[in-house]
Amino acid sequence: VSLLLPTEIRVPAHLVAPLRAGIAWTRTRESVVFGLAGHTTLHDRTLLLVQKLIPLPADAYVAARYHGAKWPGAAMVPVLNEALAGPFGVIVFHGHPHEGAVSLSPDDRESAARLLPTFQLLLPERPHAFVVVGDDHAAGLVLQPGGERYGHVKRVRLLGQVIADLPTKLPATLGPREAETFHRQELLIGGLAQARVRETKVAVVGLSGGGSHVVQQLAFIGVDEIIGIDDGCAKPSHRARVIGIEARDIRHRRPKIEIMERMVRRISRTVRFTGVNQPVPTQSAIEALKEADIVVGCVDNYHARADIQELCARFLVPYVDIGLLIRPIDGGTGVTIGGNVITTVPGRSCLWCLAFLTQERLDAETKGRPRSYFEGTDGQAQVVSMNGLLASQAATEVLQLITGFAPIVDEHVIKKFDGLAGTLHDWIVQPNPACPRCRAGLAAGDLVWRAA
Amino acid sequence: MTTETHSAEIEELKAAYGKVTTAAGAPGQSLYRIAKAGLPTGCTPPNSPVLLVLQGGQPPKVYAKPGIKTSNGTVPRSTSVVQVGGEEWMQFSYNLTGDPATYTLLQLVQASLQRFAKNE
Repeated sequence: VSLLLPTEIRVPAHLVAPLRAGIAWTRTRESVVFGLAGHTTLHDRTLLLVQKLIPLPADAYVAARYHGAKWPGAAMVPVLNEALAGPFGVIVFHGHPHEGAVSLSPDDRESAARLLPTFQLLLPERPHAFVVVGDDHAAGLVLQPGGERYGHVKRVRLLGQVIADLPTKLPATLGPREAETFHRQELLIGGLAQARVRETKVAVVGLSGGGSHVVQQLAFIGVDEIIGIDDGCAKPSHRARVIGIEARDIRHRRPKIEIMERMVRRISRTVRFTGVNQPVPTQSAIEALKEADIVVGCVDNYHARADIQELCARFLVPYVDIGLLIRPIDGGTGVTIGGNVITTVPGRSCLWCLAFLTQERLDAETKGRPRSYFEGTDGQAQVVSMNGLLASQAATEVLQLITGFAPIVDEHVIKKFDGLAGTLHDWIVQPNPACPRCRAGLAAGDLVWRAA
Repeated sequence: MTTETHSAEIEELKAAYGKVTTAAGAPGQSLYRIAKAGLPTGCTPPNSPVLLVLQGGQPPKVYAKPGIKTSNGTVPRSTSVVQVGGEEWMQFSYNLTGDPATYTLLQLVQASLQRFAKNE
């Protein structure tokens, strides 16, 4: 059964326009773009993660009646060489430029049946796919590692400031009861968008002052599943800032994931909560993060952010990070209260190229020593109302990523919080175009181990 | 390290530990995974997968899988869980006598795993 899991193809933001341009029809034929992709397998689907696009050169096409596009096998040699070096899965993209559902033609299916087994023979460790992309839908066939039967493409996900999904079919609309519940929210985002919200899995890393607010709001927003990741238990200081906590939780030292699960259950019977009682980057937390459509990081240190950032880049998951820092001004004359809400989309920016993560900041946390020397941040000030403000904005960022309810601006904008002034301002930031971290592990997916 | 000495050292690892696999990491980075390397007597589990990360110009890094306990049942100090290539590994500190650059990969793995012989 696992061989026939549906496949989701993810395209990082910087490759979306080249993909659209590459598959645009000429006056005489269709156009083909090859994608080189990493992959991973989730519990309900396979992810093919596009790392590079290679258009078929114009002079490689041969004229052929009854074929949208035809090319000789030799034209694919450079593509296959790069795929072997990766190793990458190979995706053949072409376009059917119209609105509504698209499907592979009989000729497409014949091509897929010829090409995909060839790719599999050369690169048996990765899935390979043959995909048709329309204006708002996509469809395709996938040959999984070790498989002989073809699975289907569930959707092509184009990452950007808004996640654009090209499904094989539209999500089911809400039932009358859910429609009544979300009626007021739908007035902003629309019914179709609410159906997309209903299909979205969001991981929340860190379930204290910020994360517990985020979990509560995501439950109200009506996502499909909240994946809570935190290995902590209730302690007295949590009474002042963890939403949903009760006095008995402190007495029983109840794990925070259990408190969050109870809170979500009380808000909604349809929103699922999955708790992971381990910190990032333990394997169970990594596996849980891979399942998410969006990750919200509510952690209090840069090392955890670096891990989340790297995993989100590797598996092409948008990452919303929040952080609050209250600290005394040198000389003891007062405090500064600063915070951030930063949304990074793979292929567009990362916390490194926005200079929020730096090696100096990581070294400062451990005084330049290995990570085991990190002493924690329990001594830092935290205030529930300020955590809540940043968390609310994070939940709004999630809604924006799914639905695009707000106008999109081209600039890279982060939200800066000033707790003394009580303001949340847009800051336009310039990502480092040569950021070495941004692209290093982008769309790499799972490692492929071969005999040494 | 030349390609020849590198290949010879990988062969040495295979001769000592059996199954060794490799994967491409970040650009310029090669990963080698020993499926099962024996730990010092008394450790639980008695063996662990080991990861070697080779990056040009830098000393090789050695990682083991989290969950190792020393012979007196304690969790070794100065260890932390890190992720390498999207997988969980345990970073640990170890002392090498002499110049680490003179160690072969096999010597490096053997010497670093001796860290778990200390009950601390």
